[in-house]
Amino acid sequence: MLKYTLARVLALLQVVIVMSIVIFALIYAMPGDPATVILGDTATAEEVEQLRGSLGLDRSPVLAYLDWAGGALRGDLGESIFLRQPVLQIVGERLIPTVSIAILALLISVIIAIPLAVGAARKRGGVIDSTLSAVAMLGVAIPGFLLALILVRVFAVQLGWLPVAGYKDPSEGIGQFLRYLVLPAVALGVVQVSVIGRITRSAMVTTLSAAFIDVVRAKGVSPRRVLWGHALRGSLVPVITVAAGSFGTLLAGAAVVETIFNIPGIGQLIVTSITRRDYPVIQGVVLMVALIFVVLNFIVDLLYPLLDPRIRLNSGGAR
Amino acid sequence: MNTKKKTLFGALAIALTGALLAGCSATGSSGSGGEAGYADTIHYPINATTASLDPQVSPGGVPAYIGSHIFETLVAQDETLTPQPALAESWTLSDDQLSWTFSLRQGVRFHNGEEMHADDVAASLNRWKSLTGRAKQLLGASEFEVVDEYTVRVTLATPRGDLLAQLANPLQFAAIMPAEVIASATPAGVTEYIGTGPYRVDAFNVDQNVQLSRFDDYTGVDTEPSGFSGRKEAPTEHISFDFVLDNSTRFSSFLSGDFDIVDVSTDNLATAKAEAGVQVERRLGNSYAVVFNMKQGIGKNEAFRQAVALAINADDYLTASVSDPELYRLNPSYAWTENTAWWTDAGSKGRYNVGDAAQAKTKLKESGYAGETVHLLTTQDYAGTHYRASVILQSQLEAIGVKTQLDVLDYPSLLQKRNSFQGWEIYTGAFIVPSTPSQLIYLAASYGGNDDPKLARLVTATAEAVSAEQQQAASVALEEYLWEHVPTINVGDTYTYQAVRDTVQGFVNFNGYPILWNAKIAK
Repeated sequence: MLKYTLARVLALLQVVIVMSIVIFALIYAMPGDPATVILGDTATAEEVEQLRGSLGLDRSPVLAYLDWAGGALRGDLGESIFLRQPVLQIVGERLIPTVSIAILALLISVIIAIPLAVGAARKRGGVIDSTLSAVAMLGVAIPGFLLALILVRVFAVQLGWLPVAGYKDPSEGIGQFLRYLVLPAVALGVVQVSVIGRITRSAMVTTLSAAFIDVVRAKGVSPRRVLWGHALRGSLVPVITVAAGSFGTLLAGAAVVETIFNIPGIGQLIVTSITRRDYPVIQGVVLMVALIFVVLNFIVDLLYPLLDPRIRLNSGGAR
Repeated sequence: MNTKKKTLFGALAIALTGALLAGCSATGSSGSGGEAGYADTIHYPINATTASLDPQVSPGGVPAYIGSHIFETLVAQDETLTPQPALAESWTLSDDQLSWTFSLRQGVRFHNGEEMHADDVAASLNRWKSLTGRAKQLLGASEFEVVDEYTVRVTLATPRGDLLAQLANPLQFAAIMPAEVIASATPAGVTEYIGTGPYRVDAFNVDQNVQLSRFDDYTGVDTEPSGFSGRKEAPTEHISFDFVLDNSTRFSSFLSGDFDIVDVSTDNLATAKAEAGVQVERRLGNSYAVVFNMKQGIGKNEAFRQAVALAINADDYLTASVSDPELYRLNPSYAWTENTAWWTDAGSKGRYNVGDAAQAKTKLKESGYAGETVHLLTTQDYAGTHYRASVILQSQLEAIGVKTQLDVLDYPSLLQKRNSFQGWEIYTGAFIVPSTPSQLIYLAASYGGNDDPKLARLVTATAEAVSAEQQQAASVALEEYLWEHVPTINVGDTYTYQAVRDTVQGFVNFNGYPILWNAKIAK
């Protein structure tokens, strides 16, 4: 286990280094730069060049990367050109709403998807199975932004139960905090219901036909316990894998929902930073989201043997 | 599930429901602190975001919309776009028309409590000059200098009749700030937002909102409010400019009562008009124009440019751009029709809104156009207005046999490409309409690349014109030249819709700029 963990940490570091180079190269390959954005329509080429110099944008990309990477190793991702705050602080502040929505969305999707999937697997072709199929189809077919707009029109404008848009910090009261998160979380969560529901159902169907389930049944265990205690646990490996992937997708894909609900999260930050060509922030956000992705996958890998004792890990990661 | 777990889940469910219900009891924007019977906060939605509120640095509209509540200028535009006293109570022009001397109002306080003096004004205006292309062009090497504690002077190399108009221009404006704030400014802008305006900054939550509160020590002029000039009473204690980028979210927030004023797209027009207690108003917005790359390529060819002008059907172009015949008007001039000092249709007869493919084809043949691809530079940013204008222009050019290609970039990339003068021939879109022709950005050589001394002289002549007669004559000469040689083509003016609840009083939308300093909202 220790060998396996060390090997995964090493692989993780390699991924992070390659990722950081790719991020940096992509950003520098983009046309347009912060000086052009700051000076706008009326600037002459000389004025742009002068500002580029004073912002340090005329340095060689290699030197700039080394500087940035060295800072990142010390926990310093630089300072935003426009916001004049440390990138780490900005990303930290913006992560809170995004992670909160992602957690709530995941919670909503798991709470809806797993019971539906378990019911569907228990009685294939039944009412619950058809319901799950319908929800899955809807989740896949309806674009997130459209669902968000429908939710806003019904629950915020017509019924007035929830706010149209905005974000309240948890310090302003947990009730307000949650009220502002419900609609964006539902809009994001419904898509994940289809993903998690389909994979859970499929895993449950396979597990329910396994020999150990017959043994458990033969021992006289109640059908409910067989379903929820044994079959579900035996099906969790693919479910957790998909849920972790979903969480990463929710983090990375929050831009549209955050724009519609006007939430100052990572998604909105990356969109505005790209528009402004705020290089340090773009680099910081992309690196942070990618790191979360990689670390989540790493944690899931470590969880496998805990969920399924049949899985034994060696340094190569093979079972 | 055992009893303990059930109890835990039950408690959690009750706690969450309770928290949500508690949240539901919170209300929107009203409260005490303003006039009795009126809301203490106005929430105003802004459709774009900004990273800085420094109006001297940022050329965009957002810092100007918000900044006009925080900062003031020496002179301010009234409804007829005429500069009126603001921080300057009077001014004199020397006999040789070169030296402008401004007497400042005494007792004006900055938001930090300090009194405004001439050194603050000189520092602010000299920084403004160094940051603003049009101010650099206007002032050249001249600097504002302190004459005494309440007097500043600038001496120009040549007479400039448009100095006051430039000082009153609301975009990238000549805001007056304390000298120490100017001294500590970085290339990206000042680090503190301290002005003399009726509202001061409480919080700037980037990408969320700018929260302002009434500045109790404000001392403004005591004349009738008109445009940016006149009395500023600040009857509402707080103003929150909320950044809401999505059009449907802004409108939904208006319908739910979070906002009392909102811009309305044509999609939402019917809903807005059907809403009880709401007035939908139409305001002048921008002017559309076509700019040629005159540094290289076919844009240098005058006959080709004339062919393009003949091909343009302005009605079709503007309908396609704004999607509603009610939202545009034909106008051959770079000035609003209302700007009587400068407006003229000179030179436009037979050249504006012709839309005649046969004539245009003849002119195209005369130009020697050999079928090369003409690149139209555009962007989907700014709600797609530039893009729609480019698409319709493309179809009108294709109709006369010009081979075209749309190059769609995001705005920062577009800026860089346009400034490079490489790989594009035509750029078209919406432009802000200034009060005088010398402030037109697309006539500057750095914009379209025109290296035309005659055009430069004509623009300078408009800047030097002082009397109304001189201004009209200079404008006629400039417009005639523009329509004859077409370095740019004016297409027409557009409006925007804005929905305002009947409870709103004193709010003015002045040529697209929200003026909230005399606004209040009845509860």
